[in-house]
Amino acid sequence: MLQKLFTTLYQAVLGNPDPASLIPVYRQSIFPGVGLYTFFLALALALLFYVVLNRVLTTPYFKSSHWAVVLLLSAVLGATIAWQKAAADINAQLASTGQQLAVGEAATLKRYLWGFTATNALVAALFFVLLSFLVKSLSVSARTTPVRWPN
Amino acid sequence: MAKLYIFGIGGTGSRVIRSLTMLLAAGVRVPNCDKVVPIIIDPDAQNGDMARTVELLKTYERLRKQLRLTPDSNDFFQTEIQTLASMAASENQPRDARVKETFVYNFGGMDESYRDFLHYDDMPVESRLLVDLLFTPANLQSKLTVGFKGSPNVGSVVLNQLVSSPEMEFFANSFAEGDRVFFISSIFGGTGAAGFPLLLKNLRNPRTALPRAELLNHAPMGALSVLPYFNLLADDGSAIDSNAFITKTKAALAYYQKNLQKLNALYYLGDQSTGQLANHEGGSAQQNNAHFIELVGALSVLDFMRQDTDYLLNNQPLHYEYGLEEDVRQVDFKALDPGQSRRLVGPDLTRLQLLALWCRHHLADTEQATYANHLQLRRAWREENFYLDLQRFLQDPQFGFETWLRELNSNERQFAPFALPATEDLNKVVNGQFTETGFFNKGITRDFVRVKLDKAIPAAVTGAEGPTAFIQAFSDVLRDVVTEKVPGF
Repeated sequence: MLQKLFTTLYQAVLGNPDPASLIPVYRQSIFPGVGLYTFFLALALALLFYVVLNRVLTTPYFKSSHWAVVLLLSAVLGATIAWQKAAADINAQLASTGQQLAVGEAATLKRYLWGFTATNALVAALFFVLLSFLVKSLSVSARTTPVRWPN
Repeated sequence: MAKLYIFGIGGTGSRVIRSLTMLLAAGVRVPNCDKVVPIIIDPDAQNGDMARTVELLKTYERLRKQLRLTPDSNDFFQTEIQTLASMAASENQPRDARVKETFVYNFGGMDESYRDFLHYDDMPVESRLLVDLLFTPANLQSKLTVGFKGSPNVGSVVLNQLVSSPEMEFFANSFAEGDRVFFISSIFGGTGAAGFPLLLKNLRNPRTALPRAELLNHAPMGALSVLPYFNLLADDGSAIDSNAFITKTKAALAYYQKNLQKLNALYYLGDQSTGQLANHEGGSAQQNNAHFIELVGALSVLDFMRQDTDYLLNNQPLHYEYGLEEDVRQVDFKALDPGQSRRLVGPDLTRLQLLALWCRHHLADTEQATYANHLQLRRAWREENFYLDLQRFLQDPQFGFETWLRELNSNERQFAPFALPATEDLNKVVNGQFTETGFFNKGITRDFVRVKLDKAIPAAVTGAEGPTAFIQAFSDVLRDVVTEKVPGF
């Protein structure tokens, strides 16, 4: 289910993976793996911000500007995860099958990877925003960050 | 609901009421009483001391009206302060249109001379001779607009009109079982020295024309009579000479000894460590810095109210004086009796000072905090009347709490419980009682207080309930902070 969910999500933004010979590795490994990692990354960052920094510890990091920094961090880490995971899985696939990409295919692959990286940055940010609203009620000092709603 | 009627007579009356108002704002409770009704009696309508006390009282009353506090707690502004008229309205008593919605007795703009007030020129010659014997020509020429210029012989005549006034009739009508009366005046001036015994005599007169005479005759009544505690700079052009303060005090005391009847408790206060103030006969220029004696005077009100009614009525007259734990020129909390005054005012005043510091230095930086968002404080602090009044109460340069502390700090004898000028460092608020800090214990930090406030207001508060939630949260949190972190209380 997760595989289908994340594949649908990424392909809705990026279209089918290119070159077409790598579609199976994207669908079976990269999309679900990166999606899941990104989700847990966003969850970890949300718990760090709302529970650790603003419940367990007494810190001054409760403002919307601090939340925005964590949002940015989630996007950057999301992009990093996407690039690293996709590059590693594709290299492994190419190495295991002995497939060589043509010059034009390599350029296409790179363009698709950049698009995937940028998309996952947005996905990470989106996850963090959604999880913020789920987790914020566990917080003491950031219950109303970034907005008062739904409190 | 028992009430305390306080007659603040003359400039000293106003100044002691100012100090009492600060204590009540800090959450100090008046025992056996839910409501305080101050009545300021001063013919000098422009008097600076009176004007700013009235502004302070009005601000307090407006603030208090917007709060729905839990009875028997000791939150900021816990005790209600009301005018005679608004007190009657809140208890559904009939309204008297002649009684204005004000804390000040209305003398009706006396702008005539004392001579005209007496209708001297219409008197038979024998009466004129008697008047000439009792009053100096300067007394007779004196305009009554600025009061009695330290002449109790003038005051005792003019203030007789009080007894038949609508305000006194209204006061007597609203007087109920369990209510008490307290008079505050100085003994070395004109208005207070004359007004206090005159009022007492009339309220205790069994044949008085006032309503509810029986109740008034048996109600507990106390008084604070303030002996000299400041000197005035010599001024040949002024009718007031502070060299005569002691002489006038002796004369008044001799009179009191024989003529003060049926007073249940009398508090005497004075201070030989006196500073010199500018000599103003009255008017807006008469605006003396707050003095430690006035704060102690406010404590006499609390002490009087603390006492059991039967004890007051059966052991009269009780007489009290006040002594410092240490006779120091710079008084801080440690110079007060730890079992009484320090315990009574120290924690609560510290709490109010912490609130003032928070509003001055820390509120802006916590506008996005949970507590502030739940109160919608960023907007409310700038727009809502309650918060604007609170800022006025704490920060107004004329009558505010911060100004009051600065004045106490600069007077002689100096009352300096808090570090001034106030710093943002909440660990160094109380002089001589700094909060200890260490590597793992940062003491009272902004975040330490903010997190407590966040916990105190965990959910959104609707608009009308905001002021109450604000006051209750700050009262509870700052009480805990003082208890946990400030040593010596």
